[in-house]
Amino acid sequence: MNFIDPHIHMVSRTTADYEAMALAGIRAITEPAFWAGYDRGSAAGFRDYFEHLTVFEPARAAKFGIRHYCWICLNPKEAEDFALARDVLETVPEFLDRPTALGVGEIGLNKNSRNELAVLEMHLQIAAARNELVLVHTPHLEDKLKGTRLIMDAIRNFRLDPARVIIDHAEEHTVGEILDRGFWAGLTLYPVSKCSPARAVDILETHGTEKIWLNSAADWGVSDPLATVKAANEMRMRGHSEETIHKVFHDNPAVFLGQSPKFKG
Amino acid sequence: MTAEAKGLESSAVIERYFLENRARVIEIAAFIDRIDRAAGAKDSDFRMISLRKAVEVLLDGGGNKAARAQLAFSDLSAEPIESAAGMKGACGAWKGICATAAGACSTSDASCDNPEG
Repeated sequence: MNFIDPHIHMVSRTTADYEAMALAGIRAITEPAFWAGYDRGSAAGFRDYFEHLTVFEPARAAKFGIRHYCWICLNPKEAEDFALARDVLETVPEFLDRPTALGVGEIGLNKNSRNELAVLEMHLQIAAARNELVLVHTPHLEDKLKGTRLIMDAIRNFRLDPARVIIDHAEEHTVGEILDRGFWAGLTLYPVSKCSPARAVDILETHGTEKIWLNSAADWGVSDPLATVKAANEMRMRGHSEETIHKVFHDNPAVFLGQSPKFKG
Repeated sequence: MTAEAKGLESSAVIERYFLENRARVIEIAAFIDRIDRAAGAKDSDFRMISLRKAVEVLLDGGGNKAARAQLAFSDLSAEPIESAAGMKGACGAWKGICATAAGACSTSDASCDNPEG
C-alpha cells in the first residue's frame, strides 16, 4: 500500500527515517514550515529555512523514492515579534512560487494572542490573493478549542473556500465543528499530547472518513515518522477494509493536495 | 463511512483494549498516591482540579466521553489574550478554571515549559 504522510517535519529527522518510511510504503510527504524549537533572529534565517524546505529536502527524499512537498509561512510561535513577522512575510510569495510549495502553512495560533491573530490574518490575505491552499496549525492542549474557533472565524472573514483549507491537529472536541463548517480536518498521531492511533481510528468511526487525513507531524519532539503506517494497521486490526484504509491514508490527502496543480501524487 | 467499517463488536473491543486501559487506570491511581506522599499542597493545583473533572466524566452515565474529558482541560474563554510574549508551551489544563473552582485553586507552581513544534 502507498501512503501519503501530509504533515511531517523532515528537517528534524534523519536520512535513516527516510529509508524506513520508504520501506514502509510512504511515497509522498508534505512538510509545513514550523518552529525550530527556538526563535530565529532575522528574516534571513527564515530565508535559509525556506531554501532548505524547497531545495535540500526534496532532493534528500528523492533518493528514497519519496516525493517531498512543502508549505511556506511564519509559524504562530514566532508571530509575537510583529516587525520580524512583517519582514518574513515579504519573502513568503517568492517561495510560494517554488515548484514543490503547495500553499501557505502551517499558519494558525499558539497561545491565541492578538499578535498571533494579526499575523494569521496577514497570511490569510496572501493566501486569498494568490488562491493558495492553506494548512492550519491549531494550538496545543488547553488552547486548542478556543484557538480552533478563532482560526475558523478568521478564515471565514477572508472568504476563503473551506474546502481548500485543512485544519490540522484536530481532536475529539474540535473535529466535529471543523467538519461541520466545511473544512478538512487533520488528525495528528503524536504520543501523549495529540491522538494515539486508537483514538484517531475512533474519530474516523465516529465522524466518518470524508475530508479527513491522518499525519505523523514527526519532528524534533518525541514522535514517530511511521505513525501513519501504525494507524493503518490499527484500522486493519479492527476489520476495516483495505479500500477504506487506502482512502484514509492515500486518497484523501491526494484529493486535498491535488487541488494544487503542483501536487503529482 | 460504510456499515462494514463501523469497527469491532463491544466484546471484541474489551478483549483487545482491556489490559492496556486497566494499566492506565492503575497508573493514574499511582500518580495520585505519589502526590499524596509528596510534601506540599495536595489538591489545589489547577491541573489536578481539571483532572478530577475529567475523571468525573468517565464515571457519569453520558456518552461522548473523550470530547467531554477534553473540555475539562480546555480554555473555555473566547477572546484573544493581549500578548503571548515569553509564552510557548501549554500546561495541559486551563488556569482559568480557578475562577470557578469551589475550593482552593493554585496556578503558581506551573511552568508549562513543554513547547512542541
